Amino acid sequence: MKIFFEQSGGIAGLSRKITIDTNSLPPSEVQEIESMVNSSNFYELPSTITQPKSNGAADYFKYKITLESDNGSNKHKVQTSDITMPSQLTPFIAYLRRKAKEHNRLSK
Amino acid sequence: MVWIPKNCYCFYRLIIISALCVLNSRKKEQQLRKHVCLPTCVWFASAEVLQIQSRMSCPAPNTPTRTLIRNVRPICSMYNENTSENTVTRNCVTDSPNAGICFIVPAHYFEHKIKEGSAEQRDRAIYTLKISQLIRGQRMALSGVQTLGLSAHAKVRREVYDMQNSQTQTELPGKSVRQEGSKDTGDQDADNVFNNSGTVYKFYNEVFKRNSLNNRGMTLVSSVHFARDYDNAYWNGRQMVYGDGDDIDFKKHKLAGLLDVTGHEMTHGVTNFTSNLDYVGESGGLNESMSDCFGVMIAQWAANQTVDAASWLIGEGLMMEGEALRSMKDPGKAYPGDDQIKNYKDYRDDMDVHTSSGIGNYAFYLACKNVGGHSWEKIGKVWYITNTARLKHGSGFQDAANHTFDVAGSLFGEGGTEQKAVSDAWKKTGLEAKKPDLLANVGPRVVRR
Ligand SMILES: [Zn+2]
Repeated sequence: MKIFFEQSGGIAGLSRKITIDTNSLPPSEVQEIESMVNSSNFYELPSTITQPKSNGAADYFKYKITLESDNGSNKHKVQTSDITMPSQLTPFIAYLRRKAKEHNRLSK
Repeated sequence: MVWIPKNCYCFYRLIIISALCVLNSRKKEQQLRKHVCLPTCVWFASAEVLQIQSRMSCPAPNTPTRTLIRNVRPICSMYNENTSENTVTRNCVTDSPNAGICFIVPAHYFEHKIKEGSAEQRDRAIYTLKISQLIRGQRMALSGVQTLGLSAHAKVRREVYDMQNSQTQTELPGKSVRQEGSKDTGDQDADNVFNNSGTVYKFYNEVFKRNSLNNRGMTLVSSVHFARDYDNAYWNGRQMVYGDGDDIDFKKHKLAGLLDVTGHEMTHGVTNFTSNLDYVGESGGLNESMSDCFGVMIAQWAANQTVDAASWLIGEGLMMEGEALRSMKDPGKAYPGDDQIKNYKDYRDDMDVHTSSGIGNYAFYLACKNVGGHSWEKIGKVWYITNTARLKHGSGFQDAANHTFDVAGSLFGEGGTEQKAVSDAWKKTGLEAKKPDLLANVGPRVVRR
């Protein structure tokens, strides 16, 4: 499975991206990812969980997550933000934020 | 004699207009509004009175909304987006399918709309329920709803919470650590946010006579230690939220420690309760710019700095690499890779709002420099009135140029040095400030949200 993750916005308007190929990860981490994907009900989440443009919030991070199976048959993308993120997705986003931080600095 | 707030003669006029409107025919009403209710009056009304309506209803264009004013029979207004006209009618049924949703409608109505309504109705219903819960809630009570008048005893009320590194939105605000009257917590971030939000409150109150973010004494709620190693601070529509930083991109404890960052976030709150600029496209860039302008102004005010002595940086020392988050003096030069623009010709709709905000930031900086002295005394006032009483949710940079130009003329004299300072400033960002069409602004402010 491939995971594409992007965090953007925030008070600085900077982004951070990462692509993870789970084939390159140790089995324990793959298991951890699978359990987060399952408990967040990722494939059942709507593809956009964002707020209306005029709800007044500002400077929150926006997130894009795409999961794609190795043969490309199963692909799902979810867009959300700090404010609209469903609780069950929080651990997965926290993991992806940490992963992206290990590999990339914030940039334009 | 009815009770009339001393400091708001427009409110008095609005009551008279409303009373007359109720007594007269619809045609007469429109004539009366046209003749009696000058645009200025409507703006004051929107800033001081109708703001409450806007927090309670969430109408779509071309749908009637109801204005709730104590002791006055409700006025219904129908805003037509195509003609920018507001038609006033005497009778309205708030829960008809086309009606705007009002606070007085029972909760089950919204619950029904959430379950059965169209996508748009559902969004509006969720929003309104949220707002009514917010109004009813103890912590976030909008104290002015009952009295409408400005509170005679403007007093800061702050609450600081600790999210203990949770990123779960439903856990906000977190564990209570400090409120008005309690001692230092010993947590650097919590204490800094407590103190800085007090300074921001004081700034808005002393300089602009504003009583908190909503001008109704709303409690300032801040949460620190949001998420883990979180490089950000934000306004979620109800409160301020601060991350710790990670010492990789943002230094630790800086987000919660910088006065201009708190000023920036709290100004998003002020904007939210006034112009309510959309957080997308040009209005998003303008919304961002307002937060930077007031953020920098607050830091200058607290340090009693002149425009010449100030650094004009936002988030100075926050980043591990680079001087600051943004430079208002030199947009695009704050850190390596900074791409903030300062000329309208470079604007594109797909830009991040923190990139296009440079246009407004640069105009504000130049106007302040052209006038000299203290930013908050003249140009700050112009920007404040523009954001709180002139701009509407979809306003763009040209609107900001036109209205700041017009407000500068009204405050300090038509054709005076201040007005020229404003138009010269916008010219350098590629915009020609013109007299705005004042009537075009009336409708949207009245029925906003
Ligand atoms: Zn902002």
